[in-house]
Order: sequence, then structure tokens, then C-alpha cells
Amino acid sequence: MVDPITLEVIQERLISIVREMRATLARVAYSSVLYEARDFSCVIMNARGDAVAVSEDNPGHIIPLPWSVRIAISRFGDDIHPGDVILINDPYSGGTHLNDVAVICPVFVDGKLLLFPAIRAHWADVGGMTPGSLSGTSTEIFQEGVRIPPIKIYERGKLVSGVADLMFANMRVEAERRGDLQAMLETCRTAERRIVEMVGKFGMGTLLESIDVILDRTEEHIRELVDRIPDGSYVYEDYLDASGTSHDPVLLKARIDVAGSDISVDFSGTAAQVAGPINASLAVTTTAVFTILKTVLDPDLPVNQGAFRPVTVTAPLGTILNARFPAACGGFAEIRRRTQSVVMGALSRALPDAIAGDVKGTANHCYVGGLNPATNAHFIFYEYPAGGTGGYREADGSSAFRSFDEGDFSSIQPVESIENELPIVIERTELRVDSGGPGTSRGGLGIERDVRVATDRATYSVLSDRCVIPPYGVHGGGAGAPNSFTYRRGHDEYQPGKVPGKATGCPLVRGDVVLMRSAGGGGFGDPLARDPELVRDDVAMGFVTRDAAGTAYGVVLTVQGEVDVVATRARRAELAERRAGFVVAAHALGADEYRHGRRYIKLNQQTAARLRLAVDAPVEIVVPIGAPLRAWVDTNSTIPEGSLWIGPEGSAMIGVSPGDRVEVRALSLGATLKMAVDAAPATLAGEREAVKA
Amino acid sequence: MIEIGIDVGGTFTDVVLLDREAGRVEVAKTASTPKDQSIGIVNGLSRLAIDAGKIDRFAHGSTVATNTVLERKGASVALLTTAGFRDLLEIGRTNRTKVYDIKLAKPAPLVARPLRFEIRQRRFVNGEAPVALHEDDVRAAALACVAAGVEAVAICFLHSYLDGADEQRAAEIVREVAPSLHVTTSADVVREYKEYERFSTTALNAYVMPVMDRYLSRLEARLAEAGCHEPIEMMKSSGGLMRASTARRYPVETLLSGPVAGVMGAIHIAERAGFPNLITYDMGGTSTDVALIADGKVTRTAETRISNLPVKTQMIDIKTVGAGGGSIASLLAGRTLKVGPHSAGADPGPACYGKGGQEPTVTDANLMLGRLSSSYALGGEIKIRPDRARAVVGEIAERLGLAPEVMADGILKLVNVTMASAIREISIQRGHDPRDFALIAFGGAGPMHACDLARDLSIPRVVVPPAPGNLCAFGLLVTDVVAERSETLLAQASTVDPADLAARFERLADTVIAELVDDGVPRDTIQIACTADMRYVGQKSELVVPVDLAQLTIDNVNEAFFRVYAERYGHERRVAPTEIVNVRVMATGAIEKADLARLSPPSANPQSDADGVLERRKVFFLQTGWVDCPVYDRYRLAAGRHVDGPAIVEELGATTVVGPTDTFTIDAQHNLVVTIGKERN
Repeated sequence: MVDPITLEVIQERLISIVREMRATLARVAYSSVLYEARDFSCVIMNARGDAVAVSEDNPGHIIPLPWSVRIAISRFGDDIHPGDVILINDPYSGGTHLNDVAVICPVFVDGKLLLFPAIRAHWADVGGMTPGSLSGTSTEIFQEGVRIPPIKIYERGKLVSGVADLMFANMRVEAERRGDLQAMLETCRTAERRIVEMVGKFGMGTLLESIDVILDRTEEHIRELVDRIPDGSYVYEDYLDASGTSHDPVLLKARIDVAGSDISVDFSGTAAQVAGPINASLAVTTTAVFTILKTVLDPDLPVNQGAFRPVTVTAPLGTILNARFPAACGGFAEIRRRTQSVVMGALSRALPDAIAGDVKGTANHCYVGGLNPATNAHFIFYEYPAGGTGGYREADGSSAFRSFDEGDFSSIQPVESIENELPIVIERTELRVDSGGPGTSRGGLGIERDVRVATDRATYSVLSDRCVIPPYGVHGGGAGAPNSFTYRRGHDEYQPGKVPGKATGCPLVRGDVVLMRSAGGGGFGDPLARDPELVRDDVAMGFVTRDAAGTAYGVVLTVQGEVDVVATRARRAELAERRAGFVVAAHALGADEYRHGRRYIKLNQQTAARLRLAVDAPVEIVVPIGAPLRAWVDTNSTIPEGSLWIGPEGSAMIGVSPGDRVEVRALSLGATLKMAVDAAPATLAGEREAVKA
Repeated sequence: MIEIGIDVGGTFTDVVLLDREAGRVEVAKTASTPKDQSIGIVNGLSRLAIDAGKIDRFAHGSTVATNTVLERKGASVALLTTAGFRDLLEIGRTNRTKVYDIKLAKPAPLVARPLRFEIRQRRFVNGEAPVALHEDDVRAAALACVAAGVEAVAICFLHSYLDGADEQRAAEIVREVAPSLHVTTSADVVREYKEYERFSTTALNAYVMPVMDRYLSRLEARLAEAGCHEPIEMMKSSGGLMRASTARRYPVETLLSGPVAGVMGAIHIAERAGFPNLITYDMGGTSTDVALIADGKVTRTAETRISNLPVKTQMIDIKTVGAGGGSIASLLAGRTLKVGPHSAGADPGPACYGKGGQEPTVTDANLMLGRLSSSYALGGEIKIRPDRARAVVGEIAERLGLAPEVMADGILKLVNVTMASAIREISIQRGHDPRDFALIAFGGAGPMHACDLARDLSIPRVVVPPAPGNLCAFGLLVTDVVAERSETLLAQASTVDPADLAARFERLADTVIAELVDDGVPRDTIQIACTADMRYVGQKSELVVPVDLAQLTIDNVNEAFFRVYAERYGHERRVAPTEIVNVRVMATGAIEKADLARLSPPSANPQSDADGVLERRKVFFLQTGWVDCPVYDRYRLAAGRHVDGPAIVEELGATTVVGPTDTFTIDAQHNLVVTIGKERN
């Protein structure tokens, strides 16, 4: 039995090794995406492929890694020897997208396979149809680069040069790729030395036993947390805006079953995989589930295999959440984010105080590229603006702040760097007024940034989401404003692609102004219950307009900007009165109805007309506790006046039964604008060089 | 000639007096007075029997700026900025410091939105000014500031690093309209590009200006009352002194004032003891500061954050962790033992202080294990209660089913792990081998943990200077007067005209030399050092490259960059084009250095015997368990003395713990130099 102090010392030492790995790779890597953007993660796993220690690493990288190791272990079995190095990037084997390449090094002590230090790092290019390998228009994985199933790149200390030559021959900037692989190897070797030192200091028996105890202890801890969630089933659904090939939204559905200290998440009912890059492996889906669980259960929970043990994740093969070969997987990051939203929504009634309003829900990649007349070389302006974070029980969300699943990196560049380096002028950078979802706690504000093209020709590409269907508020809070990526030419505003937030190579000319607008966070709680003094402060700060204070919060201000208490009371009563309250109708019409990927609810024609809800209008069905159900309106004469048919499953999502009262609010979706006449898709070589997810 | 160094820390105010004629060094320690630090300073001075009128130099390390920012107790600040960009200060770079925390709040900006005034004004990189400065906007803003009760104004325009004229003009107008306001402009504070970082630094400067001004005025008045009229010199974060008049203008440069003084003291000690490679280890009550000095050269960084707000002034690269004597041991989820980062601080302090502390701390563990004397701690100022320490440590031990001693030992092991990991980060993780370094241990608690840390990190030697609890104050007396200025160049190196580059350096040099001469430094003693911040084209962060003005060619500048790059990243990349981002000049006015070896020993403890042994007591060592151990009076250990461990060495305000396999000698400067023995398993 290891004493608790040795146990802590061993755990700290292991984490310290991972930190040293991070520092080493940042020091010896060749490409700037590694040594500056630090788009990589390190982990130590045991011989079974259980993650043992991580440090400040990207959850999206790390959590799928044990998956890859297990696949490698099952592929090679006993055929793993000292000096072997395994390479893998295959999304269908625990990978993310092809650019994220993992190096796994078995460490042997006294002939016994002890631990695997491993690194997953973003390679700036892995071949494929476009520089940088990622493309919003890929339809098959072959277009996204070289697919590496688990292979040995080193055998017993010797480079398998044929494999390396074949691989690198199919990637751009070969020298840099070789340098990065070498750097990853050196980093694993450093970890190996430290592990051997630890065995010398603590003994192999104590080390292995401690690792087991560390994992068990973490498991015990998370089980206690899961145990506090009331047993039962929790369901929810959410949408990605569009697959890129049609305007229809893409549905994600989750069913969470909590039984004692076990939690299982099933994504049956989720949309089939699409012929675009918005697909992900089950490893990515599992990562998303774990990320949001850790977030709502205990942000300080150690990340190791013990924490994953009580969690089971399933999704039908061939869906966007468990894509089958040869689906393209470049856009997995949007899926990961929306999966988090779905799981948080499902847990919103079970853990009402642990959650927050939803966030921007996408990476928000935005590129303007072209020829720089100053250098006669291609340039890329690349930003991925953060939005507001959701309101939560204790406080308002923060404005222009990266989401809970993102790390300590900038999402916008200095104006003074941009204007020095690129033919671009930043005209304005401000908080986006009224973008925070209204609530008792308000959502944080997004950003407005106006980017003027100062060269004759350029192109504009966007990979975003939640540009149509906005981040949800919770417990009666309103939605945040959706993301928006458009441009202004003269006095008109245009959309760069067919679908909001998705465009490739939209042509721009000198003077065009790209308008980047990031989403506000969702609100928390009923906005009519927000302290009027806080609303007054928001107006004084200019975070909320006077108009919105009146319409969304029911707060009336005097000319001097103080709260008019009497008028506010009256206005709030009036707004509460005007809310469209419905009785949930019997489930008699059968199963829930989906058309074109959208959920439909039904009410009778007179009710719809009275409330000015047109057929196909998007709405939110709001309940006091929990996330709202998003749906589109249909009419049906058999539904009694004042009643609303949702369907059994949808009712379960918001925890209501026939006879219960709910509120229906019109949901304003992100606008779809016209495209400029000359906006035929064009591509520009080099445009996506800096693309990463 | 009497010189005074005063360092005000969170818990104690430390004073060092140097009397050059009499060849005497004296130290004193008194409780800090956080509400008005100048009171503690005067109290500290009164502990030394001196005539304040005879003070010729007064060097000061202060936490006024740091505390003002950390506690958010600064001035009401307004921002005047380029129209369209008033929210830059709030938007920042949008980064978050903690993943997975859905309730993490972004720190509020120092300037509230209604006090961020938009001024119509715009310049481009090529020198074009599509929008000229609208002076009426500035006037209106200044009037609005007065109406709103603003105390300080930060003027921050885009691209002002290229040309600060608009900022200067706006400052003039504000001073005209509202003479009582403190005004600071971004290009004056840091003349470097990247607007958010520059604006943030400027806003911090404005935020602290009125506070610093009031503090210095109070201090000057109190000192004048006592008869001392010499100008105060303040320690800068970059490791140089500046006059109070300069500190009033650039208070943001004093954010690391205190910790840096310790590093400067440690460098001085190590240099004279013959250790050019050192790791400074300053362990106080709530935190530990470590810094690595390779080959006698400090590393500076301009990428620091305070309360997650960027500060773009030059600072000595110091790593701070929440581990100190007051760090609290607790059980997470009832079973996982953690030590720190929470601290019992000075109030209530460790349980053994008997001032109401109910939680076991590192100091309690040291006391229980006999490492800390129950009668001599803090020079006997506090009555120590070993029973309280035993009770609180015993309670947590019982919950884990451990013997109290094992628990106390565990607390020390864990706090050591935290500190070792900080040292690993600045040494091993940056490519340095700890075996080439000496650990300079100071601060109240440093010498108690240094030998165990050194052993864990394979650091062969530990140096404990005389009066380690006062090293920060001493550091103030061995620090040169320094001025530095920089500006952004931002051009591919191959396109830079070496004559133009030389002219830039010379212009900057003239400015900093003039500043020092103004401060009374004789011109012929001033040394100039030039550096360039460089990177490969396409990179976002720069490396500091030394530039030799005498041999200034672009090839030489590039060669120097390649060398620094190879040192940092371990490989060379000669082919890619390079870029010069900033140029920087530092002027140093060397002062005559004080000598701690001349410390007049406070009367040695009369109880110690001829060998300097005060007593023998049972001490628990991590390596061996309980050992009958001699306790030495440091003031009886003469230079040249050699002692084998185990040993405890006590002096006022600090205790050095020397392990059973270690040995130590007293060197000519009266440093206690420990040779770390091998670990015995």
C-alpha cells in the first residue's frame, strides 16, 4: 500500500514530466503552429493505454489519444519493442483530423513495457487537395491529406525510412515536417529519461501501484459527483446550422442515462454523416462528452483514465458523431462544440446551477487572403474571434472571452501587427451592443470588427456555425446574438457564401469591408427577474440599449438614466401578461415530427394567427428550469386553442407532460443575406495555409 | 555616508543600513503597515539608532503598485483613444487562463466604458494621417473627465509608437483644460507596437499614478520630518533604481519592485562567492519567487501579466508559486492531501503563532519536526505554541490514518514538490542543467527548505547569505541606477540601413544618458547596452539579441540572432528572412556596492558554547527520520569554519536546515555554503 504522500509526490512528478514535455516541444519544434501557437498536447499513458497524467493540455487533443494507443496495442500486440515509435493520425482510429498527428513511444524498464509518453501535434500540412490540408469543401478524407493508420515509424530504434519517405513525399514543406517529427521524438525521449529516473527513485512496483491508485481515486471522485445527479434519463437536441451542401440544419440528439454513479450518453437520432467536412469520430464525440461533464461536475477534476471510466458514449455508425470511412473529418471542431451544447442542455434540469448559457459554438475561422502588393507574395489575414460567455447563477457572462473549452490563446491579432504586415485596415473593434442573451444573469457580449481590404483583389473564406441558430439561454434566459460573417460593399451588406457563416474564396475588391460579428453568450434565468439596477448599469455602460432594456428586460429608465420604478413594474407586468403561454397537448398525434432536419410543433391556425407565428417560423419553447426546445411552427386544426403539440420526446427534453404550461417565444435566427453578383466561388492557392481547427 | 535600503513586503518591512565610513552594516525588521507603508518605514528606521539627517541615500523596494493593482484600489481612470477602438482595453486578446471553468470571469478593465472617450484621430503605418487629431474631442473629453471625478487620464492612440505627436498634443490639451489630472501617454510608457499590450500598460500606469504620488509624498514628508531630505530611489521591475520623480511618472515600472530587489541581492552575493550560475530562491510567508541567472546575466521579459492584464515593461523573469511558510495543508475531497496555494498569511498566521490559526501550515510542520526552534522563531518576537501545531497537524493526520510526524514530513515533501516544480520550469524545461547551478536561499523560510530542494533537483550547492531574511533590502544597496528606452522598428533585417539603425540606437542612448545625468549620475560612469528584439518573418514573438554598436552590420546582428535562436530552440535555421521588431537601449550608472560580510552581528546568543552550539535537539530529517542534532548560533560561526551535517543554524529571522549527508563551510563573505550530499535511501 503506497502512503498518501508518496502518492501525491508521484502524481506531481508525472504531471511535471508532461510539463517538461510541453516546454521541450515548444523549444525544439520547427513550425510556428507548434512553437508559438502551441497547438499540441502531451500525455503519459500506462501499458494498457490509460491516460495517467496531462498538464495544461488541449482537451480536444488529449482525450482521444488513449483511444489511438489502444488501437495501436491491439494492432501490434506483443510486437512492441524498446526503440519502437508508433505514428497515427487516422480519425477512424481515435484521431481527430488528419493534421493532428500522434507519436506514441513505449518506455521499457528492465524489459517490461511500463508507460507510453505520447504527443498529438498539429502538423501545418499533411498533403491533400489544398495547402494546409483542411478545406471547407472536401467531401472525402482522401482530399484532406495522408491518412496514417497505426504504423511503426521507428523499429527497435531504427527509422523505417521507406515509410517516412513515402509519407513525407506526400506532404508540403517536407523539411519542416521532418523537423517536427524529430522534435516530437526528442520530446518523448526526454520523458523516457525522467520516467527511468522515477523508477530509480521510487521503484517500479511503487510507481505502477501509485498510478493505479491515482486512476482509482479519480474514478471514485467522479463517481461521487455523478452519484449526486438524480438517476434517470435526460434528453436534448441541438443543431449545426447547415452541412455546407444545403440550407437544412444538421440535428444532434443526446440521451443521457444516469444510474447511480454510471453515466451513459447515446446519440441515436443524430443526423447521418454528410458529404462535407462536418463529421467526427466517436473519439471526438467522447472527448466532447467528457469535456462538458468535467466542466459541469468539477473543473478541477484531474484528467486521467479514471475520470472516463464511469462514462459510456455511443453513437450509431455512419452518423456525423461516429463517421464511417471515407467521410471527411476536417471540421470536427464544430461538432465537438455542438456535442457539448447538447449534453449541457440535457443536464440543464439535473444540474441547474452548474451550467451556464450556451456559447458561440464554433471556432469562427475567418480568412481574408490575396496578393500583398508590398511584398508580391500571398498574404492571409486569419482570426477566429471569441464571443461572449453564457450567464450563470452567480454572475453575468464575460464579453469577448474564449469559451470554457478553449485555452490561453488570443483569438484576434493586434491591429498594429495586421496593418504593418498586411494590406488590411481595421476600421473598428468594439463590443457588440445587445448581443448578450437577456437573463437574470446576462450573457457576455460578442465582438464587432470591421476589416477593410486595402489591395485590389482578395478572397474571403469562413468556417463558422451558430450563424443561423443562436446560442441558447437557460432557465428562461434568452438566446445570445448569433455569429455573423458578412461584408459591406458601398452601402450594401452581402453574404460571402450560400449559407451564412460558410464560404470559400468569395472575391473581394479594394474598399470592401469584412464585418466579423461574434456571438453573445446565452442568458441565465428570466430577464424580467433581473435586478433593474443592473439593467440601468448595463445601459449606462452601453452594453444594452435603452430599447432593449424596455423590450427584453421590462426596465424603463428616466431621462437621467435612473430606473423608473413604477413604470418598470407596470412594464414587467405587461410583458409577463403578453407571454404566449400554452398548455402542452396530449401526445395523440404520434411520434415527434422532423422535416428537413428540423423539429416541428403544432398549434391551431387561429392561435398561430393571433400570436403572429407563421408556418415554418422558428420558436423556442421555454421552461423555467432547463434549456429551451428549438422548433419550427406548423398548424393543425385538431389542436385546441391555447394548446401546443410537441411530441413525447420533445416534451421529455424540457421535462413537461400534457397539461403543463409552457411559453413559446419567437426565435430570431441569424439573417441570410444576398450574395453579390460576382461572388462565384473562386479558390486561391495558399489561402488555407494557416487553417487549423 | 549612510545608505539605507528598505524593502516593504506583505508581512515585514526590512531595513539594511550601510555606514561606509564606519564599515558597518546593520539590519532590522518590523511589521509592515499595509494601510500606509510609510509608517512601517519610519518604524523600521527607528529600530536603527541613526540620525536620519545623516542619511545620504535612500533606496526603496515597494509593493504599493502591485497591491494597488491586485486589490483593485487604484485611481479613477479615463481613456482617450482612437475613435472606433474604445473597447480594445476590454476586449484584449480574449484569452482565458483556465480551461473547463464555465464560471470563469474575465478581469474587469481598469477603465469603465463610459470613461473611455473616442477621439477622432487616425494614422496609418505609412505615415498617412487620414484623420487629423480633433482637438475639440480632446477638450470635451477632458471636461467630461473633470465632471466625472476622474483622477488620471491614459491617452492611447493607434500607431503612436511610430509618432507620438498626437498623443503629446492631446496630453497638452488635457493639462491645459484640467491641470489637476495625472496624464500619461502610451508612446511615453512603452514605445512599442501591439496596441492592446501598450494600452493596458498605459492604463495600469494611470491607475497607479495618483496612488504612487500620494504615497511618495507621504513618505517624503515623514522622512523630512525625521530630518532626511535625500531623494528616494525606487527599485524597478527590470532590476535598476530610479528616482522618485521618475517613479511618479512611470509607477507601472515598479510592479516587481520587491522580488527583484532580492534577485539583485542574490546575484551580488553569488558573484562574490564565485557562483556565476545561480537560481535565486526566495521563500516567504505566502509565496516563493525563483529566478535563474546563467553566467551572471539576468533574463528580462516584456510579456508579463498582472491580474491577467498585460504589462509590457521590462521585468526580470521571476517565477512565483503559492508556496510559503504560511501555506495551508488541506484534504481535497477528504482524501487528497494538498499544500497551498492558500496561506494563513500574517494574520492569523500558522497555528503555532497562537493567533487563531486553525489549519496546519508548513511552519507548523517545521516546528513539529524540530527544524524550527520553539523559542527563537522570529527572534523571539512571537511566543510560539508547539502544542497548537501538534494539534492541528495531528487532526489532519488522523483523518488519513497517519502518525503526526509522518504527516508533518508529508506537508514538507509536498510543499517542496511545488517549489521544485517551479525551479524545474525555469531550469530544466528551458534547457539548463541544475548541476551547473548554485541555489541562493533567502527569505524567512528559504534556508529551511533549500537543502532538501537542492537534493531533489541535483543542485550541488546551496548558499545562504548573512541575514537571509533581509536580502531584499540589501539588494537595494547593490543595485545600479538604470534607465532604458525602446522603440519599434519592425522591418526585415535585410532592408535595414545599418547607418539608420546605428542612429536609432544613438538617439535612444542620448535620451537615457540624459535621464541618468538628470538623476545625478556622473556622465563618465554611465554604461550603455543595446539590444534588438528579433524574430523570423512570420513569427509572432521575439528574442532579445545583444547588439554591439562598435561593429554594427546587419550580418553581425543576424549572426547574433541565430546564436540566441539556437540557444533557445536547439536548432539553427539560417535560411529564413529575419525581422528587427524593437530596438532597446539600457544605460547603467554603476554605484559602489555594499558588502554584507561587514554585517555587525547582533549580539551572539550568550547560551551558545565555544563551538557556537546553542543546544542539541531532536530533529526529523526527510532522509533519516529523528536525529539528535546540534543547533548552531550563526553569529558564532567564523569564516573558514567547516561543519558536517546534520545541523541547524539559527539567526535572527531565519533558520538553515542542513541534512545529515550535507556539509557546510562559512566562506570569506560569511555566506553559509552547503555542499549537498548524496541521498541515502
